[in-house]
Amino acid sequence: MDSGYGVQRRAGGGSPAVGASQRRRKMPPRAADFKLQVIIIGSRGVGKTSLMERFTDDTFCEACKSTVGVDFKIKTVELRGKKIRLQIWDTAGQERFNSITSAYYRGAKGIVLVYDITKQETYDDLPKWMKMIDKYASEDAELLLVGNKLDCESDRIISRQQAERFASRISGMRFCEASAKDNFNVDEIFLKLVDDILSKMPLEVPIRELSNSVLSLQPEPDIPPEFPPPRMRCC
Amino acid sequence: MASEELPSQFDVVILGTGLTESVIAAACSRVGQSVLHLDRRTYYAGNWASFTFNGLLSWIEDYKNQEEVNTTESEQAWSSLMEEGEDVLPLRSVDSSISNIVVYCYASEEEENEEEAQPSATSSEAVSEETNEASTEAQDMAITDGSTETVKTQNTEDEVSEPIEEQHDISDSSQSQEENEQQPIGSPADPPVEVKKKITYQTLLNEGRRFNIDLVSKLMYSRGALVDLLIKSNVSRYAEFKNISRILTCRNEKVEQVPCSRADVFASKQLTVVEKRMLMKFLTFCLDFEQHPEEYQDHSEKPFREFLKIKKLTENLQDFVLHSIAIVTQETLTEEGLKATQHFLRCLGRYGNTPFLFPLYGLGEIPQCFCRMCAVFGGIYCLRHSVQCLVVDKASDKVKAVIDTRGQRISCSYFVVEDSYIRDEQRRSTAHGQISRAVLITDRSVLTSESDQQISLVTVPPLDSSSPAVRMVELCSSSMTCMPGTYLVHLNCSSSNSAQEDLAPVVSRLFHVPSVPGEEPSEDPEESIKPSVLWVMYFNMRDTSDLDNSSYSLPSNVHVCTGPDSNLGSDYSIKLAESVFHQLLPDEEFCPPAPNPEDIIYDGEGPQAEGAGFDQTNNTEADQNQAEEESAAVETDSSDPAEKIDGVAQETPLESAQTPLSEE
Repeated sequence: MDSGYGVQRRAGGGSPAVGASQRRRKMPPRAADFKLQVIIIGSRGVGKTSLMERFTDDTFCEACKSTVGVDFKIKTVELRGKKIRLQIWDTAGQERFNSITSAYYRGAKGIVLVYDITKQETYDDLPKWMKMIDKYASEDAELLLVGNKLDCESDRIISRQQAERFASRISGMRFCEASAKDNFNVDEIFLKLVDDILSKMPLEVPIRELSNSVLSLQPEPDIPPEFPPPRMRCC
Repeated sequence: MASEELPSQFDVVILGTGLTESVIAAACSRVGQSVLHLDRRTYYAGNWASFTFNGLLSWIEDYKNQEEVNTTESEQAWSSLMEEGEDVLPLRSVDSSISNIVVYCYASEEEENEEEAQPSATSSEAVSEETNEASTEAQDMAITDGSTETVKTQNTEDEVSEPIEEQHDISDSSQSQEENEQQPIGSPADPPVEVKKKITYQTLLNEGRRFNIDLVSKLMYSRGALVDLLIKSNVSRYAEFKNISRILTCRNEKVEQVPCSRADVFASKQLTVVEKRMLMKFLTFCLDFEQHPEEYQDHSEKPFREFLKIKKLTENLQDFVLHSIAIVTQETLTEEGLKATQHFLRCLGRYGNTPFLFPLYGLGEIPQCFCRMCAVFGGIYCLRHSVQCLVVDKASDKVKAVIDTRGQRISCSYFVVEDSYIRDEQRRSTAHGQISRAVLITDRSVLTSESDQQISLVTVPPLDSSSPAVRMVELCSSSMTCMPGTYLVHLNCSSSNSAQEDLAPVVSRLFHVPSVPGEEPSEDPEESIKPSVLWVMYFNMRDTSDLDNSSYSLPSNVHVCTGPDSNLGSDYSIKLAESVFHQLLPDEEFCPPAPNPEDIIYDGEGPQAEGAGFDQTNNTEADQNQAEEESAAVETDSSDPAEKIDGVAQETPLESAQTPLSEE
């Protein structure tokens, strides 16, 4: 895939103890135009967290076995002239004993289904994941099948053709192979997924009726003056 | 997937994934306890669960097919896992908290596509096809939990019997047929007939996944314990919500809107001017009633409804306040009634015009959200997995371990368990209250208005002072609990008898209940504006909320989670969770805010996080110390230090994911 997709990286960092006062003087970034939720699913050990972290943090940790403490990560990307805040959710390890909540699938606009090209059972599990997706995920969610661990080509068990065939049987499912370790194809797959999601969304989303609005409960954040919160008040 | 072994030791083992248990799980995990959270069922949330339509039908089947597992063989196996000075305490394998399940299906059993308008078809063809397909036999599928017989009459497509003619005489949805009978003279260029597509049973099955039917019927008070906890702990970010847009009541057989805000009261057409003034005065008093003890202290031992009489409210207003604002029982005493009224008023306007919210996809989402928080902090989750027995140390009378359904011995310091897993032998009393429930799928709202996407709370005052008030919640399809074109209606009251006996009279008052499946309401204007019931399920759920630790004889480190209760809000369950948590871990904070990942912006040039870990910190200084503490507390396999990243103010979350933040 070409590098036409702009990936925003902002300067900054450093320890907060030092940065605290500096932070206050920083300009808040321009708010995103869209917020999109993407979930990653797949059997244990296929590299879900690694793919996510490679994309969001550009890091890879071989030693990390289990996902503890990772809820979701955010990355802001710019596509089609829009700034998109991509929220990528991790399973929090609940797939280990086949106990991912149905709630996990709600609201996801994109679903990345991952298997390990060197482990047969992770590929054999795919129909089971598809069943969950059919049951709980939005029908409009974009699906992307990823064969991870391309860096272990010599241990490959699942051929590319096999997986392509699997994906082709599911309407709208894209497929590709990647390696979180070698950082091969990772950016591309997430960006392509976001692009697919955007291509299906109307560019100008109509303002919904107030009575129909979906709410979040989170406390009111500091809003930049040009975006007053649409608040409903009783007189 | 290969069957994995569980670790053999945890700080806390929790059995049951209902709301209380899930909050406890999240709270324990959050402060660093290792948690194993199990549920014998294939789904989360236990009696708080929500089901797709097809899922509910399976659940009904599975429920009646449950069998208590014979433990004699297992007991041999257990003894090999036990040490000296230990005893076993077996748990139940069958859930008997639900009873009297009865289902009636009124949606027609016709094939869906026969209903579509076919203006170009010849009339005779259309008529005869319909005649052949229509099923007319009584569709009652009465499935009770006691017997194993399913009385379900199967209708073959070939059956034709007399009442068909009657059905087709009725106008409305057979409009297409009427049109056809009139032998359209016009050319096929005539505009196609606009027919409201009839919802058949097959439609419900096909669209079944659009339904999320809760076993529990509750709403969330905007300043209630649940909403406050969701916000405090940040678990709220796992779910989305909608406002209850109106409160209705049934008065003189009519469904009317209840005024609750000041503006509503002034605008109300149902109240006289005198009543408006009276109500405003009373509500204003309630808002800070504690400041005026002289007004109510003399009446503190009296029921609230008497207090309302003493305050000279008209009967109308008494009903409004008791049933639609305070939402308390006839027996509730004055101070509690005043508190409830005050709570209602204080909850107005926080998010919308009524005090209430409802979670998108149903209440069954909420326990799952807390489970996720538990998992994020390291909790391990296993559905389809239960505990066969507890291993109790005789000397201390404390649970040392559990033996799970795979026969593995797992040590723990605390055991938290939902009531339905406890055997009768451990109960000091087996008497229980019950909650009567009904779930209806209907085709129209009980009160039509400009918007068909309203979520309504309807309170139905009792017909006499001995029966309980019935609460009803009507959910529209945008709550993601039912398919477009339908409403999902929940009824709830404390049981006097079976749910059907308690609730069917109210159902008949407010809805058109066909006597024959697919039947349209009669021409009678009163009947025809009523929504039709397509499908209804009645059931009773045990109300264990009046039990506490003294109701069981269990080791001291076992904590039982009771509920759900029959109240509208969830304060009971949240308070119980907090109380159990404090008994387990008296020095720990209950669900402190988790750092918000949204506040982190990845900054490319700074030191990077390595590995999984709670490497996310909150922006504000106040949270800085907490975040640093947390990053250290969450142990991961990676030994690299967590990254401290600069953050920015959280964006407004008031829009859903799709909506651009700048909305103009």
